[in-house]
Amino acid sequence: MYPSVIEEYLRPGSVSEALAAIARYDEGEAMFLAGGQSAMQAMKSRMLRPQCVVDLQDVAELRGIARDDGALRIGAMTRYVDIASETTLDGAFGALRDAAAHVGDRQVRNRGTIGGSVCWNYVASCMPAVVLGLGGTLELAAADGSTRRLEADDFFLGPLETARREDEILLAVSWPAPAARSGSAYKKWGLVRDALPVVGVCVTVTLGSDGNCTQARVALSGLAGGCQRAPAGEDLLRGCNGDADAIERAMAAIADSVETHSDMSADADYRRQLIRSIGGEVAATAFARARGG
Amino acid sequence: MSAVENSADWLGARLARKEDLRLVTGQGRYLADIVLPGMLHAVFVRSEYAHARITGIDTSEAAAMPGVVAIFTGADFKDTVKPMPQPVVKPNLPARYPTFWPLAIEKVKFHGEPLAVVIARDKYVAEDAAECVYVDYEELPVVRDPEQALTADSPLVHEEDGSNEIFAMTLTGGETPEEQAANAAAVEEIFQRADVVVAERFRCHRTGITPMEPRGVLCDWNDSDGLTAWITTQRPHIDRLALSDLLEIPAEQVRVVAPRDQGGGFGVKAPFYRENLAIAYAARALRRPVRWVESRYESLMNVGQERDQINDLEIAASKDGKLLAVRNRGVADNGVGTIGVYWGFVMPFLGAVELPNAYTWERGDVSLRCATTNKAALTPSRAFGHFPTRFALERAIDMVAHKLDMEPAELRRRNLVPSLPYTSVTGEYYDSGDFVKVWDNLMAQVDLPAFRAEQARAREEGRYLGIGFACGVELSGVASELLVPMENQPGYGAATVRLDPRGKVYVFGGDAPGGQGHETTTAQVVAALFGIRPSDVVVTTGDTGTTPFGSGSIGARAGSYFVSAVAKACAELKDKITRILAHDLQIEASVQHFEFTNGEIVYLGDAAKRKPFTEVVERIIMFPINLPEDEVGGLEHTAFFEAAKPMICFNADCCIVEVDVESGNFSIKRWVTSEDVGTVINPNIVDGQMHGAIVQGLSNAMFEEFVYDEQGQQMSADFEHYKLATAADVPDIEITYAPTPCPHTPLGTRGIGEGRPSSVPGALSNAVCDALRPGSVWQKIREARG
Repeated sequence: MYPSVIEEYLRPGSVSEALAAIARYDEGEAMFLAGGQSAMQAMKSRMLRPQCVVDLQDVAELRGIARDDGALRIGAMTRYVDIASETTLDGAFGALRDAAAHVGDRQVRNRGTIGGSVCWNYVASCMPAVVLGLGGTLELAAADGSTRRLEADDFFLGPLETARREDEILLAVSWPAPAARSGSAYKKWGLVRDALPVVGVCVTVTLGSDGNCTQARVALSGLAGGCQRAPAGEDLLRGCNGDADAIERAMAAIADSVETHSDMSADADYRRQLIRSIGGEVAATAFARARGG
Repeated sequence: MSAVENSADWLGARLARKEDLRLVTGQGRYLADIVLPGMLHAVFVRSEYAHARITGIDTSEAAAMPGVVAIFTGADFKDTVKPMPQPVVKPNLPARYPTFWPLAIEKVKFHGEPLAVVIARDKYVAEDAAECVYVDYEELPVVRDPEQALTADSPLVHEEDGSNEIFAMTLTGGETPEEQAANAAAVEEIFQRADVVVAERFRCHRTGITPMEPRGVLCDWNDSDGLTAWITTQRPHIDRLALSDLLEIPAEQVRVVAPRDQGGGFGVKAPFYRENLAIAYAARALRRPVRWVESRYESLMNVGQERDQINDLEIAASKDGKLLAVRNRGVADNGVGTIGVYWGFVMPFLGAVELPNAYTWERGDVSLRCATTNKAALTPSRAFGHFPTRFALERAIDMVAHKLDMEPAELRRRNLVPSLPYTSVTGEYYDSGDFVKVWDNLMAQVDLPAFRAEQARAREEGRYLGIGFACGVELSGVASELLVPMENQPGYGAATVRLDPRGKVYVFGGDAPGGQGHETTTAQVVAALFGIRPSDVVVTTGDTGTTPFGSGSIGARAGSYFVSAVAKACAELKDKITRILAHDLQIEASVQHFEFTNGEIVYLGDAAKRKPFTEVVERIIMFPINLPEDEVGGLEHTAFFEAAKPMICFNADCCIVEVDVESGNFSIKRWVTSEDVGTVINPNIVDGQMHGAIVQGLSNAMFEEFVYDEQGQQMSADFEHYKLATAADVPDIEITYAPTPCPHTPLGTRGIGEGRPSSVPGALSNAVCDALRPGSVWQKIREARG
């Protein structure tokens, strides 16, 4: 488990230096290292064979959680541990902490980053589904100085695939100030504690003044197709007041509509059961958080 | 340490382990920390297929890469290394022992089998070159299923054997087929007249052990001294003999050193492995030190795989709750079997021996067949062999209890062997202890009637609680009468105890521990016997150049055989010390008239006659004048210990679970144990053995599985797929003790910990099934939902 030849290892101190370094190599020959909790494994098993590794750990401008009048911006190199410890991420952003607090083990949470996770977009991971379920915006910059903003719905393409070009760097994931009475939650299930998700569910709801749901987003992790929205359930959540029966119906609709697969961890039926049981719990938490409880 | 007032109290003191400071501060020295000048690095090229003929190996591109020193393939060994089996690593059990060399020749027989080894200046280059060794294969039909492997039309793993049945044995009734058939008929007669019969097929999946430190070997050759091999091993003395025999190096020119610090063995480091032989060969051929450190990926594909077995088990019982007879037909998935000492089938063999457990069967009919398949060989994994048989038996006993409408705990207690010694229906000898005392102690921790009431209340609320029990007779060391036939090795323990002129004590043992705490427990024994402090005692293990022969750190040998040999050696030395001291004091006295305490030797007849231990020791070693007649100076003794008969320890488990019938998940609410471990040397270490063993049993049962696909490809070669329990996945474990000192060891100690995981899967599954009685609620919910 030793990587193939890596000719150059760079630790730029700024985004512009990082982009310049990547630009010196042909596509596919250089890669960013954003914590390395997945990429290092892939390199050691030689699934990835980069000629150059551009390690982003010294790029201070990519780190940090910024709040501005309710809006949220999380730098791409912000570690799980920092997200999990950020107590202001409650209510509408509760799902971020739910997920970050249970990624891998303490060592992983001390090195792994949100940006690394969403750009890697592994099927059995939490952050892509949470960013999708929360409807985040992904800010990308390219070497020519241009920047663009992609909605999560357009960013995640499929397993290990995103809309990020290899010469682009993810700067941050951001959200505008959430509507009043918004709440989100995330939970996963794996065979052992804090394992990669066999199934994970993220639910975000916004309630009207009457307590009924006006907006809902549901995203799933652990499915063979990669992280994905679950519109069947979102439709059923909208308009309901979060009572147990309505949630149950919504999650059953999701479980019946998504394509689940069988593998060593769970069979397709059990994955559907997990979506129902975890989803129900997560939705109830999201409603409670939206109500301020 | 000041808490201990009387130095005799070192025996039983809850001391922090002597080895822990260096281990937790990064100062441990493991195999991969040893670096020799000019050392080369090895990487094995391993088979991509489970079963294929090798039609060509092209090493030319790899050999030409800068930094590559040599590449060996199977052909290089065919005429230069003796093939296995060789007597030193071959049990005295009748079996079809496949012939094999360090690297595959002609065909590969499992996914991951080594077929070439690249030696290079560093590990990176070696891995680069290993990728460029091109192997042509002609795929063969894969033998996957052990029962199909035993059918006449199955493809053969080892073609020259003419059969995939590597080993078969009937363990009951006697030696001859006629005696065995008569016994089987008598057992059948019991089944015919029994009030209650339970018959079930129990399958135990392939799981076992994953030590934190995988395997490794570093070999150094020079023409005058020969071979020095540092090996991650539990049995350096056997490795030494095997290397000598197979490479035809005179024995005096082979030294094997097990590094003082090893990251766990648990059985995985007990076999003699072909990789070690290949590296020793390379070091000799190249006259350079060569090191191989196994990757986790290789480790998960090659070792630690055990348990894989089907047991068709039947129990006959009377309506008043008497267990009458047990019948079992085991079929073990042996894997390829190409590992020295064990060959895959030695574990299932012992598992069949240990099947009857602690119960008084009138008769048993127990037989076993082991089938070679295109999978990694079964390798020893703590709870050697009997994890699947004990699971089957303990689960079946609950099924009998349900048929009788009797509490499973009560059925067990009624059928425990009431007094020892006792010989089981498979011929296993249980020397001493008190099973009923251990059981009653367990039940005293668990208020069963109160639990049943709580369970009933919970059920009304839609909550599903369950309770499960199991117990286990375990080997305390492996006696020669079992180890000679089973592994062709002696069972005795051996220790050299050497004193120096400063009164310090050095203990040398030939076994090779992997973190069990030998340095601490041994030092406590010596300190208690000599009346000194554990910090005055240095323990050296695992170096064949300095230690007496030992069969290895296996089968709970430390608390049984090794410390007993240490105690015997100390007794001999105390005898000599007091003979000379009595002479110096001009008194007529011998050892029983003296107390060794708090650094002094005190004459019990007159407490004024006392001398510092150090002073007496220095006098005997450094000033050997005016000695009693026929005495000479010096203080060193090697002692061997073997009890007249095999010895055991015993434990019982209780598990309480709550099952979530919606998701099928369950949580363990309580895990309570009762243990007979004999005299305890260090309670911390004994607690640790129990915690580790129970966690391992839980992890094996709940999370871990080695998985092969239809083509025999290994699908679980990383920790994403081979899932281990974490601290958060296991309950608090309540360990309690009901010990009976062993009458056959000098200190009353028993060897513990080796077999301990085996009662875990039974207790756990009994609890889950108890929660869901009658029938599976989860199943019913699914059926209702259609």
